[in-house]
Amino acid sequence: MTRNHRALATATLIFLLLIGVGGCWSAQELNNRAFVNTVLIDRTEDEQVELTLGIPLPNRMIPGEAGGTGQPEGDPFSFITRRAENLSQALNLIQIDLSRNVTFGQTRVVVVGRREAEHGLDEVVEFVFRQPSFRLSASLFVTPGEVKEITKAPMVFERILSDILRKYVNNHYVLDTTVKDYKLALYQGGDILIPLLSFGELPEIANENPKTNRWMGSGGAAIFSGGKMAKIELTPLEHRTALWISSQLKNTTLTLPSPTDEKEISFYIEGIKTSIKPKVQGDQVSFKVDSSAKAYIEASLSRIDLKDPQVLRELEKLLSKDVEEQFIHVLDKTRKARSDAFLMSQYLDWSHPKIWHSMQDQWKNYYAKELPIEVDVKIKLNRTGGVFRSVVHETNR
Amino acid sequence: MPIIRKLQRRKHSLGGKSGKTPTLPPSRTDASSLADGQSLQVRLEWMKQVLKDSSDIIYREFTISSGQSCALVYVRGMIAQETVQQFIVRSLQRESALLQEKNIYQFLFEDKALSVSTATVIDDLNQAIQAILNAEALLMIDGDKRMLTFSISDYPTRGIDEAPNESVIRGSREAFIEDLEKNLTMIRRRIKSPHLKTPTVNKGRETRTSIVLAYVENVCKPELVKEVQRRLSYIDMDGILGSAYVEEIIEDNPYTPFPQLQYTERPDVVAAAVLEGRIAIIVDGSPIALLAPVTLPMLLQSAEDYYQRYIAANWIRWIRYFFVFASLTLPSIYIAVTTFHPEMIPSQLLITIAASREIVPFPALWEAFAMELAFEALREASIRIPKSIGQAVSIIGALIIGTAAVQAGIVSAAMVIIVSLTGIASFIIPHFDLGLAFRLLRFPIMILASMFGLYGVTCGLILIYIHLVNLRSFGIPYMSPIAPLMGKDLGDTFLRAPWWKMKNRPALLSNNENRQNSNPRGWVKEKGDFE
Repeated sequence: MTRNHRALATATLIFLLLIGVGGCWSAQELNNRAFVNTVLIDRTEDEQVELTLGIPLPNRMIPGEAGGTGQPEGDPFSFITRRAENLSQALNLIQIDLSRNVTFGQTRVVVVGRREAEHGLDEVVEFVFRQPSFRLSASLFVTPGEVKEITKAPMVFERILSDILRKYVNNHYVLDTTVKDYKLALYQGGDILIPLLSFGELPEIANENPKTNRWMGSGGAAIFSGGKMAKIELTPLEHRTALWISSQLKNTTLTLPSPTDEKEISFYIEGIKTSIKPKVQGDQVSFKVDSSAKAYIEASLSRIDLKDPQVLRELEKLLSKDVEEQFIHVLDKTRKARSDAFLMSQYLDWSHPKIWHSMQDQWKNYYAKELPIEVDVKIKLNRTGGVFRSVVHETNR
Repeated sequence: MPIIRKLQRRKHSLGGKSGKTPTLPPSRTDASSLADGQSLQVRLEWMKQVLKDSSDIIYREFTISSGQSCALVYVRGMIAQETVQQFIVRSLQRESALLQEKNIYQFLFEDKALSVSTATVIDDLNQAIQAILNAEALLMIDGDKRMLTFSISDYPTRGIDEAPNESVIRGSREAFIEDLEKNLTMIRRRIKSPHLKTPTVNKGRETRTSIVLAYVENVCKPELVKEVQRRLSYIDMDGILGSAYVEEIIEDNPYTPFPQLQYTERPDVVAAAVLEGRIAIIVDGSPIALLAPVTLPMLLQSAEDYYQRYIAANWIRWIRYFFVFASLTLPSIYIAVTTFHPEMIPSQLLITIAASREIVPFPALWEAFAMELAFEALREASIRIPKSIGQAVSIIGALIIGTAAVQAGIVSAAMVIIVSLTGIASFIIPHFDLGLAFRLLRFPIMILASMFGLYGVTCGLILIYIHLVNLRSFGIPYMSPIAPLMGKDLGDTFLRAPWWKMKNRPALLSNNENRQNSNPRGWVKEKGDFE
């Protein structure tokens, strides 16, 4: 009997444990929750915080309804905006107006307006890290102007806004800077790159609604220095190089003039690997950025003879040199913005913690002005595509 | 075949309890009051008194050629009439020449010269009545206390049929029937070894049901046989109408949903089990044999596993394990994740699920409970419904529960998918009783899930696991060879090792481990004619 009693006691204890942990009162049915997909944060001119939550409306996308009523009416996505002294107040204002409970468990994207970005993201990080269900892998974006502009972006392929931004990241078109990355960077001085979005009115993407011929795309990257957005930005092309330096680029296309007749040759680059290594000689700290990639020729209008290995080697050299120049250009730009955006300080901290601690205080200056960075890019031209000669060459025109 | 069995039954009769005669009321029906019991008339009268109002008993009185009067007593319809007529009545009446020379009593009882295959001499009238009721013919003769019983039963039984519940593709098609003798022949035909032992006990005060144990002597642990017999000896019911009666009496822990004896309707499964050192318990009148001991992994093996190629069999076994888990937890995980942890669901999927739940008025738990209960009802109805209108159930089930409920917005499509997946999963479990156990346990876990989320599900699973490792079937831990871990026996648990790898019997069950001696694929090394 003692054994049974003990079992009973154990079971009761387990049950009591459960009661303490959480219970029916924290249960929420799916149709009593509002799942926030996108969080938009901006600052108004009178220094108020403007919080906008992007919430998909499942009741407008009930699939395959009986009787084939077809597409449900209305936009399946909605934005709710409130302004307040701070984010918590704004969230509270949103919540009291909503019939459902705001849930941050599905938030994948946080977009910050320029004014807020220049003001610093401390408040945003604080807000995010205090929500236990908030995904730390939510991606950060910055808009060049007011953040609300994004709500006018057309949904062509995807149903909801966060999907578009998420796919930019997943397909490696833009830098993947998560909330967590940002917080980690704050420990090293708050220098990081956050992708910028760009908006325009050109009908570049086929638009369903001709009245709003707006579009949204990735527009370079904002350079953060000391937790605040710097005035200097990376252009889309520089942004691509930044991706390359941080090994986030999967493939890209480069176009160079042919060394023989100045006509264009396009290279498809893949297998990109970049390593950043600190080198310490005496008290001299320098960095080496090594990058390797494979390339093949996507298009060539030149009469260049690609059968000749000599020529190929020459092309490789040209390519590597071009990319090296781009690297140096981007690195210089971050130096100008006084932002250690590629987190070289972290590399130094990992490999030579003592040296890092000794120069922690003057690191920013050192990075911006003195730090020697050696760049070495090796691109191998693996294939010339399906043919050797260009169509122009072939048809003798 | 009946002859062999009869002989065996005598030989291995378990003595004591089995030989007990039925208790008859004393006074007029007390056999001891019949003086010396030689008079045919007195004995017949007594018998008629005992068996009064039994219209199916035939008393056939006749006079044999040597002048004594005889009586044949048997149950109508259970005796081969032809044999009675041809070899008993006719020979006794006509073979006068032979009879006159010899003493008729010696002829009958000592020489057993009647040309009927099995004749047994008895002199106890109570035993005689038992023999009559057991489909034997009784011959009594005036002037001798002794009587003869003939096992010439011939009553209609169902023919051997295809296994309806445990069907396989490549295995044998035979299934047990209600007739004990035929069932035993099916096992004996598979194991033609003198080591196969089949002792009998008779249980049931009124039904006098034969219960036969079958085991292979040099494989099965003798303690196990003794233990089964000990437990069987406690049976003291008025009737044993099926093996389930026996199961409930002899199982170790009666307060658990989990079956601690395996049942099967397949003689090949019995043969395989017996060859591994387990005991089969076969009950007369029941087409279901019991196998003891049993472990949970054994209940998840299907006969087909051993007939298919082992690679495919392995894959199917894993699928089965997966769906066992699914049948237990799928609805509760769904409830827990959607009501407590929606951040675990990928956004796109969540939106789809949320959209399908949008107009559902009930909480997820009620939705799941309603659907699961409806499914249980459907399942039960489809078993009980007369076959001729069986189609109606599936139409109602598919239309009302599958489609209409979703269209009306009473349950969400996601829930219908979950419930039907769970239903299918529970039918994948080869042992029906085990499937029932998991189906039953699903409901408390669903409640835990709705109250405490995944934490509740985990705690529920842990409690079930604690219960499982505590169960024993005839001394064998229920979760072995997983807990306690027995490396040697794992070859037939998560895997189904090829036959040439399974060289030993499960060490858990048998002391005589060696199943096959030399390397069965030794021929590969020798050069044959086809290389």
